Formats: sequence, C-alpha cells, structure tokens
Amino acid sequence: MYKIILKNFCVPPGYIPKLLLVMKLTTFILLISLMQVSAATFGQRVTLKQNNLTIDKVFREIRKQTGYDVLMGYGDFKASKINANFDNASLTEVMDVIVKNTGLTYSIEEKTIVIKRKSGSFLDEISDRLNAIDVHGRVVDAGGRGLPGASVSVKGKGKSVSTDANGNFYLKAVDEDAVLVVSFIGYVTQEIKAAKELGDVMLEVSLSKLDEVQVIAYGTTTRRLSTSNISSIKGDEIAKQPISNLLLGLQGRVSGMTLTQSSGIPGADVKVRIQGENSLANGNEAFYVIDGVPYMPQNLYSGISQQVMTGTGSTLSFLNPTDVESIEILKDADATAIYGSRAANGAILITTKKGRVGTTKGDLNIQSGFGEITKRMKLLNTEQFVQIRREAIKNAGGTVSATDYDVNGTWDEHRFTDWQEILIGNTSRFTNAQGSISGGSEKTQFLAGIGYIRETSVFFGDFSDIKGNVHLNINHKSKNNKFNFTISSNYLQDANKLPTTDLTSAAIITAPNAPALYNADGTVNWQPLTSSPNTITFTTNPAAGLERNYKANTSNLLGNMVVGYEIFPGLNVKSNFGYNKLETEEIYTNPQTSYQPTIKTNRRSAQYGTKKNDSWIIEPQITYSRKTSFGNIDAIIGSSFQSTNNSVTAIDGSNYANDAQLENINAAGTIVTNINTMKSEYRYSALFGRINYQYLEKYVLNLTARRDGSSRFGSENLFHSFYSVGAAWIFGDESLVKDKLKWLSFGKLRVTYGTTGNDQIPNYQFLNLYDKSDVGVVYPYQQIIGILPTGHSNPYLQWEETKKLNLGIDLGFFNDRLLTNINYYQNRSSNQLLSYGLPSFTGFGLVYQNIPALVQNNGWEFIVESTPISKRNFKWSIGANFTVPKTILLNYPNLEESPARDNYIIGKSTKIIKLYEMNGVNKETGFYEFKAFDGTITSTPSPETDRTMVVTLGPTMYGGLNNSFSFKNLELDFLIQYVNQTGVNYKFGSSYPGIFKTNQPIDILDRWQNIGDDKSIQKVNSSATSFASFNLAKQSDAAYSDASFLRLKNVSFSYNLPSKWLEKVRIKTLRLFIQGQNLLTLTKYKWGDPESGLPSGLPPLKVLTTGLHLTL
Amino acid sequence: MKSYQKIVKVVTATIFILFSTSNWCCKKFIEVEAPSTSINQENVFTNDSYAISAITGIYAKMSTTGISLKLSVYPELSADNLSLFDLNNTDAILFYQNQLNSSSGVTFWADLYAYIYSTNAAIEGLSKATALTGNVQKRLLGEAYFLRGFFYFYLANFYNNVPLVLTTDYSKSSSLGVSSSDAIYAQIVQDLTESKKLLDNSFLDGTLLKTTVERVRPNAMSATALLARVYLYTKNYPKAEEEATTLIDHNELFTLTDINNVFIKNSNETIWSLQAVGDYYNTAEGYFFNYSDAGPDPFSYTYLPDDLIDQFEKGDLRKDFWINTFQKQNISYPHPYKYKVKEGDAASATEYSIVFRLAEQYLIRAEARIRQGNILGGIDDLNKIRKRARAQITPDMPNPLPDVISTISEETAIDAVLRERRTELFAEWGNRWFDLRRTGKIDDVMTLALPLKRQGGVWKNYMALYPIPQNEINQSPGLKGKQNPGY
Repeated sequence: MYKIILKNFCVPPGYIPKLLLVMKLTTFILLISLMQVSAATFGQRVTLKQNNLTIDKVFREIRKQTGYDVLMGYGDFKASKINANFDNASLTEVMDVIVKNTGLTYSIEEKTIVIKRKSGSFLDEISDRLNAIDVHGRVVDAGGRGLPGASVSVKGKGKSVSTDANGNFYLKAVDEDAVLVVSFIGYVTQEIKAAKELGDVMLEVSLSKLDEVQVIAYGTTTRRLSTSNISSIKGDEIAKQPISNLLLGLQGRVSGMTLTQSSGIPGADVKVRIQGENSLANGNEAFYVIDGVPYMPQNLYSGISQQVMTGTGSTLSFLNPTDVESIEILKDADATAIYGSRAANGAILITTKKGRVGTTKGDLNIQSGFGEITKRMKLLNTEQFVQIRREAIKNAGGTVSATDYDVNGTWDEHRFTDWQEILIGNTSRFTNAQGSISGGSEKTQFLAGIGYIRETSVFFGDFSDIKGNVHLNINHKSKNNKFNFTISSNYLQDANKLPTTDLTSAAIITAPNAPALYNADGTVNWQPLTSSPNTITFTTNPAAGLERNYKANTSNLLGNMVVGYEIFPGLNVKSNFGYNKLETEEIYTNPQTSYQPTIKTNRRSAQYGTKKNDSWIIEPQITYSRKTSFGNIDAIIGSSFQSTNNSVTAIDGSNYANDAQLENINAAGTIVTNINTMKSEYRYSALFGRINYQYLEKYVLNLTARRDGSSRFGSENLFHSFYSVGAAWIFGDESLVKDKLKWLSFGKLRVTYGTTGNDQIPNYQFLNLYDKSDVGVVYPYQQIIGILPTGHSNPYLQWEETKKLNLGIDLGFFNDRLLTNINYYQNRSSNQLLSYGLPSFTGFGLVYQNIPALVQNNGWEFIVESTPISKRNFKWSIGANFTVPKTILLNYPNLEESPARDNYIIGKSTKIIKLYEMNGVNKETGFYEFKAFDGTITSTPSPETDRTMVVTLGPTMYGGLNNSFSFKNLELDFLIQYVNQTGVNYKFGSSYPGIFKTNQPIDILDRWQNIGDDKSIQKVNSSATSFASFNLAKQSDAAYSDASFLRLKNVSFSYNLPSKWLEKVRIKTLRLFIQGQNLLTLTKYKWGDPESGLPSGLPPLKVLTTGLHLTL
Repeated sequence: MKSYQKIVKVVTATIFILFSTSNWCCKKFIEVEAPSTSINQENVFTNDSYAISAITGIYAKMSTTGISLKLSVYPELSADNLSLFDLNNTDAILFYQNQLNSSSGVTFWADLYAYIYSTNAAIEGLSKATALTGNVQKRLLGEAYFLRGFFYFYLANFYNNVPLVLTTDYSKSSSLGVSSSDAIYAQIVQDLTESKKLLDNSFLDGTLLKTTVERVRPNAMSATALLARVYLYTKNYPKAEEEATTLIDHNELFTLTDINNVFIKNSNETIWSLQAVGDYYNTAEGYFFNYSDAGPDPFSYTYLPDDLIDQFEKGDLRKDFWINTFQKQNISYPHPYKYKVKEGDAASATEYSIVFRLAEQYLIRAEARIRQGNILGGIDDLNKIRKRARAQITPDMPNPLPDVISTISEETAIDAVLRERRTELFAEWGNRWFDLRRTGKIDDVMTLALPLKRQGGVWKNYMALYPIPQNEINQSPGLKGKQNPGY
C-alpha cells in the first residue's frame, strides 16, 4: 500500500519515507507535550457531586484533589451548605460558585486560596488599581496554532478584547485577582487567572454538538448561538451510505424535509421538499448552493431523457457524495432571507471537503457490493391469468378469437415467466473507489481527491452508470494572515447508459405465458404465427424496448474561489467567484430491430441532445466583527451578480442505412434540428446585509435584508426586497436557571420571522412567446416550421412571496448528553403565480399573473439526540427526528369559477384529490357502484357533484431514528426511516382486467362472478362495456390506500484494525466495513415499493456493500 | 480611536455607494436580451425566417386544426344544407336543431379571436420591424392584414356585433365593448384594401422570394376575392362587381376547370387553398365527409338532406361528381364528395382545402350585376357556372342543365343565383347560412326547415345569430348586456 501511494508522488524515491518519518516524529513529540499540558491542568480540577455539603467539607475535598489550601477567617461561613455539582471543574469555577451571593471574594496565591470580604471601600479601590496589571497572552488550539478572533474577557467586568491574526491579545489594567474568560466558537471556553505573561492559552475543541461549526449563508455559526432552524448532516453520515446521489443520503435524517426517490434508475429525479410545498403552480425546489455557488438541481429539458427518467434527472448525482464535508438545510426565514427571492422553499448548502493543517495523509476508500429492487408486486400466475382471460371473454359474450393468442392455443398455456424476475430482478453491481491526499501547513492546506463510482442496473441487459471525478482544494493565508484565499474545484464525468423505457411497467403487465424474449439466434422474438409468418403475436415484446438505448454523458465542473483581505482587525473584504458548467450529451437510438419484421419501411431514428448550463457568480462582501463590552457585533454586507446561460440543442435523425450507424449523426438521411432547441439567459443581482448582535452570549439578535433583481420578471417589477428578524435567548445561561435547574445544561428560545420569495418560474414569462404550431403538422407548411404566440405576456409579473414564522426551543440536559430541539413553523405563501381568466377575445382566455391565493405550510419538527452510554470501550448514541407537516389552502379568489375547483378546496390541503366514494360491486349486475352526494347509490356518478371523498396525498408524518454503537474497534450504525402517507394503489389492475395480454395484480382474483357474489372487483370483461366503470373505480377512494412505511434505510458496520498491527506496516488506520441501504421495509402497502407511489416505476434499490478504508 | 472612525467612514461610504448604485447598475445587469431560440414578440420580427414562420404558423394551424371543416359543417347544419346522422353528438345537435345557448360547448369565438391575436401581433411587429428584407416585410404585412379581415368576416357573420380588437395588449382590449357589424365591416374593408396594396398577384413559396405553383399563400387576388364577397354582403354591388371582375379577368391565373378537377390541389380555379400538412388526410373535409366502409358513424356524422339533393336539376354533373351516396340498411346517405381523398399522407397529397375559388366570384358578380339591373350580364355569369356543370347530351337527356334565360325579373334572377350558390358552394365555408341571413330569406326558409330537423321545432329570428359565450360575458365588463337578443 505504502509503495503504491509513493508512486503517485513526483519526488525522488527515498525522500518521502524520510519525510513521513519526520512528520510522524513531530506528531509524537507534539502529542507528548500536549499530554503534559493537560496533566498539569488536571491537578487544578475538582470533581464533587453531593447535595447539602458544608463549605468546610468542600474545602477539604479541594485540598485532597488539588493540594490547594484555603485560608479564611469567617467561621459561620464554613458551616453554610451548598449543593456541589462539579464535574472536572476548574478551581476558579468551584470557588466562584462557593462565594456567590456571600459578599465574600477570594484570591488564589501560590498554592493557597485566600477568602476575604468583598472590598467596597475607597482604599480597596486604590489597592485594586495598584494591583492592576497588563496581561499579554496568546490563544492557541491543540496544535499550538494561534486562534485569531477568540474572545478574552475579564470575568464579571465586561472588559473584553479579541485576539489578533496570530492569536495574541493584550489586556490593559486588569485586576491581579481577575479571572479571564477565553472563548472561541467551536472550542471549550476556558477561565484562567490573570497574569502579566500568560503565554499560550490552549483551547480544546468542544466536543459538544452545540459547538460544532454550522455553515450558514455567507458565514458560519454554531448551534449554541444560531437563531435559525437549520439541520446539519456531516459528510461522515453520507459516507456511510452506498449511494451515488448525495441527496439520497439525507433521507430520514432531516426534520422538516421530505425526499422522494422517483425511481431506482441511476440519475433519476429526487423530489426534495423543505417544509412542504409553497407554490401552487410553480417550482417547489429548494435553493442549492455548493461552496457558495448556486446550483441547478434539475437537468435541462431536451425531451430525450423523459421517457426513462421520470423527469430530467437530478444533477446532484453529478457531485461525488464522498467529497461532501457537510450539508446544511436552511429552513426558516432567518436562515434563508439572505437568499431573498430564491429561498422560499428553503436552501441546501453543500460544503465540500477542505484540506486541513497536519501531516500529509493519504486516504483510500474502496467498496463494492450489489443491489436489487426492494419489492415486487404479486401478480397472477399463468393458470390464474388464463382463467381470468377466458372469463372476461365469456362475460363479454364473445368467443376466443383468432387474435387472442394467449388463450387460443398460439401461446403455450402452461408456460410461465416471472417477468419481474427477468426484466427488473437482476442484481446490480455497485463499486465505489475513492482516494485522496490532504494536509498542509498553517498557512497552506490542500486536498486532492479522485473517485470512481460504477453502478449497473437491475434491468435485463448491459446498462450502467459510471462516474469518475477529481476534487481539489487549496487554502492559503499570507504570512501576516491578512490575505487569504481558498480555491476549490470539482470535476465529474458521468456516463449513463440505460434502456429508453423503464422496464418495470412491462414487467408488471406482460402476460405470464408470453413467449421468450429472444429467438435462438438472439433476435427479438415476435412469435409469428406458423400458419401466417407475417402475422406476429408478441407485439409488446419488452425486448424491443431493450434494443433502444439511451446514453447520457455528462460533465460537471464546479469551481469556486474566495479571496479575502483583512483591512483592520475585524474588518474584512472578500469576494466569492463561482463557476459551474454542466453539460450533458444524450443519444437515443431506435434501431430497426426494435420494430416488427413485418414493418419494412425504414423506421430507424436517433435523437441527439446537448444540454448546457453555464453559470457564474461574483459576490463581493464586507464583513465586520467587533467584540465590545456591550456585546458582539457581526455584520456583513454584500452584493451578488449571477448569470446563467442555458442551451439545449436537440436533433432528430432518421433514414439511416443501418442500425450500426445510429450514433453517427452524419449517417442520418433526414435531420430535423429544432426539436426542443432552446437558449435562455437568466440574470440575477442582489444586495444583501446581515447584522448579528450578541450580548453576554445569552441574547442574540439577527437582522437580515436583501434586495433582489431577477431577469425572470417583468419590466415593471424587476426588484423586490426581503427581510428577516431572528432572536434567540439562551436562557439556560441565566443564573436563575443555572442555580435552580442543574440538570438543564442548555436552554435556548428562538423566534424568527421574515419574507422570502420564489422565482422558480420559466424564463421570459414576461415576453410574448411564440411556439411551434406543429401539433399535427408532419409535413411543414411550405417547409416552414410555423410559429404562433403562446399566450399573453405580463410585464407586471413578480415574486411569489412566502412569510415564514419559526418558533424554536433547544434544550440540553445532563451536560448536553441529551439534546432536544423543537420547532414550530408556519409559512404562508401568497402572490401565487397562476393562470388567470381574461375574456378570450383578447386573444387568450388566460394570463399568467400574481393572484392573492394563500397557501399555508405549518408543522412541528422534533429532534432528540443523546449519548446514553459513553464509556471508554462502549459508546451508544441515538438521534431521532420527527415531523408533522400540514399544508392548507387558505384563500383562492374565485375558486368556484376557476377550473382549479377540481383540484382544490379552501381549508384543505393543496395536495388533495377528489374522488368518488366506492360502494362496492353490485351483487346483481357485477358492476362497481358509488355513493352519490345525496347518499343514493349510482353506477354513473357525476364528476361535478359526486366526487365527495377527499384524499390528501403526501406525507402526514415522517421521521428517522439513528443509532450508533461503538464497542472497542467495532462500530455499528443504523437508520430507520418512517413515513406516514396515502398513495395510489394498484388494486384495480392495469388497463382493464381481462383485456388481451395484460397481466394483473392478484387483487383481481376477488372478482364478481355470479349473481349474489359480494366481491371487491367487478366482473372481468374483455369488451368496452366495462371500461367506464373501471375508470370510475380508479377515481374512487378505493384506489388509494395507506402507503406508510418503516424502512431500515441504512446500516453500516465497521471494524478498525488495532493500531499496533498497523504500525508495523506503517498504516495509520484500516477500517473494514459493510454498508447497506434500504435493507428492510415494513409496510401495509401491497403493490410494489411505497415510496414513489408509482407501481409502474422502478422501486428504489436495496444495496449491500463491503469495503475498506485505509489511511496512510 | 482614529482607526475606529476610519472604519466607520469606510463602511458608511461603502454602504452608501452600494445602495445608491445598485438599482441602476443592477437593473442594467438583469435586463436580458430576448433569447435567440425561444421566439418572442421582441425578436420574431427581427429576421426574415422567424417573421415568415409567424405568418406561416397561422396557415399551418388553419390547415391542421381543420378550420375549413369547422366553418363548413356547423353553419351548414344550422341551415338546411346538412343533416345530422349521429343524434348523440351533443355539440353538433345544438347547431343542427338551432338550439344553441350561451354555454354551448362549441363556439367560434375564442378560435377566431386567437387567430386575430396572431394577426394583430404580426401587424404590430411587422409595422415596427427594421431588419427585414423590404419585400418580405411588405408581403407579410399584406398577408397579416388580409388574415385579420378574413377572420373578422366570420366573426361578424356569426355574431354580428363583436369587440373590435386591434391590439395584443390585453390591458387595453379586455375592457372593450362591442362594435357594430358596420364598424367591423369597415375595418375589414380597410384591412383588405391595405392588404391589396401591399401584395401582388404572384404565388410565392416559403422563402417569399420565389414563385411557385402552390396556391397556398394568399396574394392580392385573395384579398380581392374576399373584398368582392364583403361588398356583396354589405350591398355595395358596384364594388362587388368591380372586385370580382378583377379576378375573373385574370384568366392567365384563374379559369373554371373541369368539374372533376376543381378540388385537385393548385387547380386553376383555386384562388387560395390550405396546404395539407398531416400524415393521415389531405383535407379535413375529405376526411370527414367521406365515410368509412361502414358508412356514416360518430366520426363522419353528416349527410345531405333530400331538400338539397332536390335542388340539382337533371344533367347537373355536380350531383354526380360532388356527391356520393352510401346505402346503409336500405337508407341512402348522400354525402359531399368534392374532396375524394379520405385518408392519405400529405407528402403525396392530391387535394388541398380550397378557401376561395373562381366559381364563387362568378356568382358574386352575377348577383351584383342583377342587383344593379344588369340581368343579362348576371345571367351570363350564372350560365358560365352551369355550363361547367352540364352533362353531355344523351338521347335520354336531351337538355341537361339548361342555361337560365335572361328575360326574367330581377327577383327570379336572384333566386336563380341563390339556388346556384347552394348547388355550387354546398358544404363549403358556411355559405348557405350566410346567404340566408344576408338576403333576409332566413326566416322563410328556416321556418320550413327547422321542423324537419327537430320535431315541433319553431324557428325564431334570433336563431340567425349565434350566442356570445356566457363565460366571455362573465369575464368582461364591456360585454355585460351585449348578448345577442334571444339568448
């Protein structure tokens, strides 16, 4: 292993081992010295837990534990009692508690603590002055590096300074007895007695989750001080999952966010919704930002990919999940208002991995495994199928006809094929290999990574999705620390080869006694009649679809640079420069072999698409931060300029001479170039600012404002302003709470309110657009592609606006070993962009305009995190999140007169569907019957009045439960996901049961056969007389059922090889692991996988991999 | 302290500069050019190819949506020229039995106004265009004016008083009230006159630079043809005669062709036709009026009434060549057979749907001349049409379809012309319904015809106009109380 890594270095052999050895030695020495430091401080720490303890006893304990004597002359004080609760507390902490509210004070001199009365006299003041000293010191981290911007204050005096770029600080005129409080975000706050030369004050990294750095828009904060509703997912959690789209790694882990995988096809759409859907008719996508660069989550539309993907494809699959350091989900207005018009649906910030200070280390992570679909549908077997078919023909009053090949003897009536097994039941392979080198000095750090992911499909045939990527990051600071820059870039290339249609549908509907897919010679088996070779019987052979291929080659380049300069301490100017180029080339081939041999005309065709998204952003900013005795201020003001150019070129070729040339556009006899060709430009600019004010680290106020201009809107409404106010009260630090509620280690109340906008409307809506008038036009009029206006333009178009209110309470118990987090949110979206009626003599009966329809999303989010057991050899931590969302349509002007009345009811969810009430199958006639609005029973309900049942789609509750166990070198993680929802079922079968050749779910067996039967399915019938009734049943409440599920989403089990073994082979760590995704699903839903709710789409895959992670 | 003040100054200045400059600089920044591929009002008339596409799109839409059929079948059903086979057709039966109401499903209103919007957009764009080839711009503008006149002609004839919309700006047009049919006609005449000025007599191809044998773009003659009709309808007989004469005199372009070749594509009789563009029929009329092997059905749901068949005199070839009869369960279903092709690919099309043809111009001139007292001249024109339809003399039929004698009264002569219009122009563009209305004969004719279509049906004069859709009245303050009387 060692040798392999070496070959990658372009340095003379022999040099590197030495270098590594030196580095290791340095680390060792550093570690030893650190241990000594902590040993020295250990002696001043006190652990004492007992209620009702006399001061005297406390002092004795202190002496025992620290060796410090206490000098005092106040006898009655000695007998007073306190409740001692010190866990490894520093001496000063203990003494502070003891003398609190006693009128006494203390000083520590040499190894003695002197207790005296608080001096209030003039003389004492004088003596204080005389005792005043100037303190100098340096705040450093565990590695001895200076921490710039750390806060040093004099306890109880309010005097405070920040450290400079090297971590140095200088405090004038400090009382000799004073205690200094040294704090820095992400580190444990330390108290230290003042002295003239303090030397290095080392801060330890805080292990409390509350102090983890949290990325926010244009900055960072911690959970302790944040006012917002933000969820953070660490890259480690993503890395534990065998996935190729990082979004899938968030499923079940984030409160207030739903993720639905639309299909198990690699690269398919993932529907992400943060706190529900705000917009009735427009985009509900979150705003994605990767390292400060806005990112388009859905690929462009060319019309070519639509048939196999359920949409245009998720572009987040073009970022390697392994490169992710953290993902932040910004939900409330406080967190998102700074993104103004684009963040009404929340924001997802993705931060990629950065180089870190330390010795150069190499990482190698390889895993490989397999996947298969989570669930199959129960379908009729051949015997049942044939029986249903015969019955349907009989019920239709007919006889088995010459074209009923499945039951007239043409096809073998005893042949059985499990098409789900053949077409979608294959085992996919998943391989993921990642390597990286990182390290750096205090001034310059780097990270270089390379990755490869290959995923094959569960489809019959040779299909795969292969990604290769490189990731590079360099951070640099100038010698004086004033200038800094960061540059990151990700490049990923993806080759995705798929069939042109999702075979799942064919797997479900192909007759179980249908003939084999292929002939012996490998050609598609159309099963011609022996008596008439020109008549083919297997017209729907799915193998025809497999002849047609879809290939997409995507390259994604993400680059960003941040350059900053510190003008004065606290005042920085910086600018982001971001660039993203996402380019997809698609080919769809349609060879002659996919057509029946009886078709002699040349039907070969191919479509070629090129989709380009080119985007740049520049965001100059000024930040100012200052710590004063009346509070800390952090302010930022910045502006944003973004330009996005999209283009799609789609070309349709036909009349090829042979199938082999389909991928060569030059071989096309006929070329039509303007299928869905599109070019658009989107420009965006903004001015934004935020002021964060903290007082005593207990009261936090956060004000945000943004003024946005977007090219998507009409000339009359180009600009709009957004704002938010957030406040937090860390009441857990109030002395009253500290004294009375000892078990409460942290408590914070938050309230935020603000406005955000949604500009996810198509570009150029304000223009009078023309479109091809090509419906039905096969031979263009005079060879000219005609165009026609598509609708009215509206120069007054403006943003949909969402007003968000968020109330939150964060609590920590037992020294933050149990953390809870509760949020209530209420988002109201108005100014909905909808089509609105006009007299049609104006040209069009509708105009796209803002109307005051009001949608409310509200709900509760609960999060609990705990580490119930934390022993040296055994650790158990648990995290749970749970969300109860609700969406209501509060207002919709003139709903009753608008066509939207079919879809909405005021006061109900916006995701309702109006359905007939199924009354079962009439025992006499064998047809479905429904309850009309007046309670009467009818077989022909009216769509206007009788759709009385209202079913709400989408999740009504969801959550996740994550458990982590570590025992010595073993680690086990698992995540359980829960979703409560209603989905469409497949009970009434595909098309019409009994119709030629379509297989059906086993539910159909419960069909009506004879007068008097009480059944759930009406009589099967091969003629059109039953169609209307079946259609009505599919629009009834009976066609919807509980699609809730409980899923073992992720399991990760790993073993770290003991380091003493590894030392011999000079390996730092070696971890072997097993990872699984979607391993087990519990659900009442009987038809396929409950997640996507589309029985005809490929379910998500369950994947199991094994691998190793090696660090050098 | 000094550095502190400096900071404050720098920050204040920056904030001030940012805020004060952001609106104008950002406005410039975010104003994007119209995209070159998504075509819009801003850029469509900036190059010849798009501009041609914008007008050609109108023809393509007319052809592919079968406007000829819609404007032929429904008014013919309303009149006495077509019978309804499928009485379950809830749309057609309202026309057929003269029972339209303001919420009937099928209406011409929105369709025609959508076309008018396209022409208005084109006129606005072309009038302002600066980058187009001069001749192309002129030609397209002429076509646009012609088309606007064409569509308003149908609106005025179905609804009488309608809003006169000459702009694409809905904020201006949505509050319009109705204009009198006189005003509408005045606009039509103005548009057509303008159009005639801008166009010439050549038939051009899709480049608008080369001539072609394809008679699928309107030219000055199309505008003339419609003007002749408009003048006839508005009783300006001298003008009607003048315009019709212009056309008839252009015999190098237009001649009355053999009865069998009239509806062949680009026939010499064609003044303007719509090119076939689909892959399963040539003309919507051919596809609809001709039956499948099973005869009339819910898709080809009309046949010709006995009353019309009876109008054909002995030896009238039009009865033999333009009507076909299907026997179904011992009942005869005669149906229009002007267009012979039912199904067929447009690539090999032999027929185009004819909008204007020469025969109508002869009939217009005949009527105009008679109305001006020139009965001799009028009957002469009439006889030209009859001559073309005349069968060969056979022993059985020594005098097939004889000439109309010219020594008759004006009234008799007009009746002869109207009957000739019926036998010549049946199943074409609603001519019968409009003739009945404009000549004031509608009450007499329909009082007799309606009970045949609807048992016990009583004709009321208001039925001569179609109702304005109620939705439209609801949406627009200007139309309140402007519904055609009786609805």
